Amino acid sequence: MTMNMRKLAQQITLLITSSNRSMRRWLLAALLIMAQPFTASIAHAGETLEYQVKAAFIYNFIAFTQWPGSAEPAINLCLYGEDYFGDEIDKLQNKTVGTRQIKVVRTNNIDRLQQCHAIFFSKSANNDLANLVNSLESYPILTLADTPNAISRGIIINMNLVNEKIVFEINLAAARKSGLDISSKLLQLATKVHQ
Amino acid sequence: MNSALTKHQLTEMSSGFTRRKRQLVRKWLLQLAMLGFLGCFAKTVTANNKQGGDPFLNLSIEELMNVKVTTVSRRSQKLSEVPAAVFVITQEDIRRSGATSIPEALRMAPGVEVARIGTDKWAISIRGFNGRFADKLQVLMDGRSVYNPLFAGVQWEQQDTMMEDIERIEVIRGPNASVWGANAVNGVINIITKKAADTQGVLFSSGGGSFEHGFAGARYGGKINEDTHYRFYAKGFTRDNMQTTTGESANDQWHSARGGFRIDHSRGIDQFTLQGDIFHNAFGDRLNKTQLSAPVIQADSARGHNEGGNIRFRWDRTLSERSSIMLQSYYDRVDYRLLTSSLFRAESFDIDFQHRFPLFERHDLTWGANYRLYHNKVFDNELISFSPRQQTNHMVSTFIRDDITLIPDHLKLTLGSRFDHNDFTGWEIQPNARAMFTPDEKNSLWLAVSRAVRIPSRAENDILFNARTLGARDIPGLSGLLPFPVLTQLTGGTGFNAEKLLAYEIGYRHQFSPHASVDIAAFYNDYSQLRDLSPNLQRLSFQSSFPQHLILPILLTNKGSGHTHGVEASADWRVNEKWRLQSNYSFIKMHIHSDSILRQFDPTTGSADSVSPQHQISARSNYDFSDRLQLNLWLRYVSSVDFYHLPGYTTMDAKAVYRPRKNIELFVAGQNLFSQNHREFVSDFIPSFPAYIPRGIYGGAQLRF
Repeated sequence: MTMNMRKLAQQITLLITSSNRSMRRWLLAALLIMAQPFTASIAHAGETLEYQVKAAFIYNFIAFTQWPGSAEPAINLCLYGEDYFGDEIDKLQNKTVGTRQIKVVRTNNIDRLQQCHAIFFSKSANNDLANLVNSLESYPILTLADTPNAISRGIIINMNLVNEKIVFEINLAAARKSGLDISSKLLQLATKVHQ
Repeated sequence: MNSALTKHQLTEMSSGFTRRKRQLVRKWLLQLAMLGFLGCFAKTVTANNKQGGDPFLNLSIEELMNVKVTTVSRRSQKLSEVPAAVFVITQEDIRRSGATSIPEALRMAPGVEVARIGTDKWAISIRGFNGRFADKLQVLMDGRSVYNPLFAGVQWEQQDTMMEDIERIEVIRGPNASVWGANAVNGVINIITKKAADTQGVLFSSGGGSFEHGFAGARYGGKINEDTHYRFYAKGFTRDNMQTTTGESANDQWHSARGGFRIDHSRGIDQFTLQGDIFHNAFGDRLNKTQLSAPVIQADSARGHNEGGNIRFRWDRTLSERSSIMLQSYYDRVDYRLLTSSLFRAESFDIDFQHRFPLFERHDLTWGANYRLYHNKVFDNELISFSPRQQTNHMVSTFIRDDITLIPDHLKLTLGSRFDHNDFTGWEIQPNARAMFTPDEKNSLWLAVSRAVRIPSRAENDILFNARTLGARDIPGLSGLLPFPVLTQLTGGTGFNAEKLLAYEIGYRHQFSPHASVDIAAFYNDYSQLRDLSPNLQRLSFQSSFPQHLILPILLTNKGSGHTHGVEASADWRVNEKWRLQSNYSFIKMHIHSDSILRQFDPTTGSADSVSPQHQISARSNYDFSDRLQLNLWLRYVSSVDFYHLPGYTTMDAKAVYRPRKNIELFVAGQNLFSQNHREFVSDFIPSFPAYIPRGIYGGAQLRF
């Protein structure tokens, strides 16, 4: 069976490769003219795609959150722990949200975290997540993660992969404690809202 | 990047090659490799240039939630890679449109003819040949075929589920038999419901109005453990009578109740689904006695009911990104009862297997086998009788398809064929070839040539049907012969063969930006051996009882033929974050050849070219005033249906949605707003009184928690 299949496939390949010469030239010419550069996304592997989408989610989380009485021109988006985003998260750099611009900051310095408006805690930070979040509790910081059970450790928005799609849950109690106002639109779309 | 493959292929092929040819191939492959190299170079350059070029950043959060992030399904997800005329109606589209049934939702897709005949009756087809028993369409609900092989066609009133649970409806125009099975001649409609994990929590929806008298649906979704999710649902509705053209009630008030469940379990590389539904419908009809006046028909209006259920099991195993196994089986049963005109029971059992695996680097092979058993029993009545009354039919089929990557990311070829064996015509072969050329991310062009067949239904073999009464002078050759009316009696016969189609298609998609795209498809369909009606004048006989009729037996032949051509275009434009416009236009021109002297009475073949509206336009506008308030408008134009003397019509649906709280949705919708009523279609075969489709307003609320 497999042998026959191979033969069949061979024949088909033969047919294609040995097809009319002018046809091939035409095809090649057409290709050369039309082969415009593709954007990087198509060549990426699955994991990159996942973090590309997660970066877009983070952008939305920031856009749908209001910080208490802040007039600063920048929104510091911090990345704590191992960076799985590659340069995907850098695409948020200088993106505007209302009148404010996003600044992407990678930091593993706990003391600097208080200057962040939003922090994404990488999966690698899972072990001391509860302590970290605890220490930031009274600051108006939008804490984000993509770690299962991160919500129970006080993270405000947590992303999960369900059925090949990304969903998120919101810890509204924690958001209120931090003085953040999360748009009803996000709350509607969340798979679960912890009051 | 291609060098490994080049060597591999060269060794593979060297045996049967002349030196000259080998050189040529080498040159060609070298050129390809160069091109590939240039392509890679171009890629890195753009990656560096395009900082901030994450295409997902332009998507709304709802859209992000629909992006599949694993490579396996991303492949199946990308519409621009499908070498066929595909249109997807999403849950969001359905919710915003205000459609309360699957047929209504199908009006959103280009190339689809949706015409309401009465409250519970529709005529739905793709690319022509529409009718209440439109037979050149395959319709699947979660992989379960709902095409009825007893009469051919789909009984749309039986196909329903919670509208909120539909994930998407894929509408594929053109033949696609090798993938979707027999009778996928003019198109395929694939209704896919959400996985149980996507319908967790409680949903309750209820409302009512002028035509949609009342409806309520409830669903509960939960999980047994992290890997096992389930849901239950129940819904019911009641819809008003329509009015006939003579001003009476069409007696077609429709009550329906339905319930079902779904369990999804995943275990490593395996996924299991068990799903089932039961339903009960009560409906009615008013039959036109003057058309019918079969000697024995007593009542002109009747009530009836149908009930049924189905259960489906599916197992998927994902072996690798390019390799998977699927096994599915279902059982389906329906009892249908409309007194005086129809009474039957149908059961079907189906088992389906598919295996996908890569062969070398450039071939993705899919092969499969299917067995279907169909058992039915028809109870004779004044209008219809079957001989034999009950029968079991079997169908076995197998298919093979090869998706060949000729130039990675740019040129793909799909070759495949389906081989069916059925009880009526034996073996049928349905091959197709499709090519897809994608010069860049923004443009894609595809071409297809396919052959497809429509296998005869049991009715076409076994029926005795008192079709309709004609005046003797209506029929050329009988004019002036006798003053008696003529009862045409349709008789099936084993000589009836499959209808055949050779289809040529071309399509083009262009993405202007992440916010705007167009999709155009054109087709030329060449039909042969179409069903036609042949009166058997030698067998004229006289009805002895009162009232007196001449009985004219009509045999089914395959003498019809024809060709159709047309264009469908759809455009999607997100003007800004708040506003989205979607529109489409369909054009079809049909030429039917039939020598039958009854062609003017036959909307299914002889006069099919005057049954389909030539032009159809649909335009939708979705506008979000805020997170809380949405207004969705939907304008439709359908040109005239000359066979039934129906003028074209323009109408609009509108739905406003208000969300006072995150889990509460209040809505009010108006349907067919532009006039008090209009007509869309007339029933063929069963002479129901033509009815007016009324304007309707309904409102309601939806709760989620």
